[in-house]
Amino acid sequence: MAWLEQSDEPLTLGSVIDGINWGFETNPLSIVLSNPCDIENEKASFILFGALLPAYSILTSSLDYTNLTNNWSKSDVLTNSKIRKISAYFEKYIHNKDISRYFFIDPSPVLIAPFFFVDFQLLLSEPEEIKNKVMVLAKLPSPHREKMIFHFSSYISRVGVERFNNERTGEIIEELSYPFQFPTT
Amino acid sequence: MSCLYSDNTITTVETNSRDEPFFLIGSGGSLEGNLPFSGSFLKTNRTTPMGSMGYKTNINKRISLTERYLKISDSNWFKEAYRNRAIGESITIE
Repeated sequence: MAWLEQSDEPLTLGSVIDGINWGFETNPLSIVLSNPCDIENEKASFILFGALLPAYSILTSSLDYTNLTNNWSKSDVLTNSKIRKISAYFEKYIHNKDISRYFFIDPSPVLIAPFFFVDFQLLLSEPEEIKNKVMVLAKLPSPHREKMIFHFSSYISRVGVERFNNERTGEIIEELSYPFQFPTT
Repeated sequence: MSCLYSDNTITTVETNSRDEPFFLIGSGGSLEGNLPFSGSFLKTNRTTPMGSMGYKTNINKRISLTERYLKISDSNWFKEAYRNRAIGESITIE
């Protein structure tokens, strides 16, 4: 899990910013994704921002969540089995275990806001003069900011490759499952 | 109780000491099902599924941020962009 800290520093990688116009009726906060050396040495003509969006709403509106909780009643207390399932679903994201479209950030204790996702698909590049017009509210400290940028670069450089077909995948799984036996058909 | 939103859904509770935290709590209503701030509760943990603890400095800014994210979650652009999407392909590194 990554969390925010207070910041008195100039805008840099991991700075949480207010004042970027995303063109929505309600603008989210932003986090700086640009290289810190470029900003410090005035080599950045433009600064790249990622949007900070409410993680709860994204996670609970997803197809995965809908499929997971399809037959669950909101009035029921969750069973241990359901708790394990929903915990596994959320933990993958809150600990940023996988490199995905989103990077989870806990805004407390600096900001009171719902938990954030950086959405690596919702990006904005602004002329570097923007740094004099926005407010730095907080920062994502090291090494979390480096982990975030590693996730960002890995996410946008994913390569789609051909997979084994189902038959070959089954064969590999069966062989790797030894000494456990699969039923014979 | 120090601050009540116009829709009566979020209230802040302040402590007497400047250094002590306050707690953001919810009281249900229109927020139920949209964000973790629903039901009647007051938690003492730093962060809970139902509310987050903050500090009294810049209290107004922080409250407005929460209100902003309630609006974002309920806005048309957000719903259009995120509703019923697969979370997406991912690369497992752990």
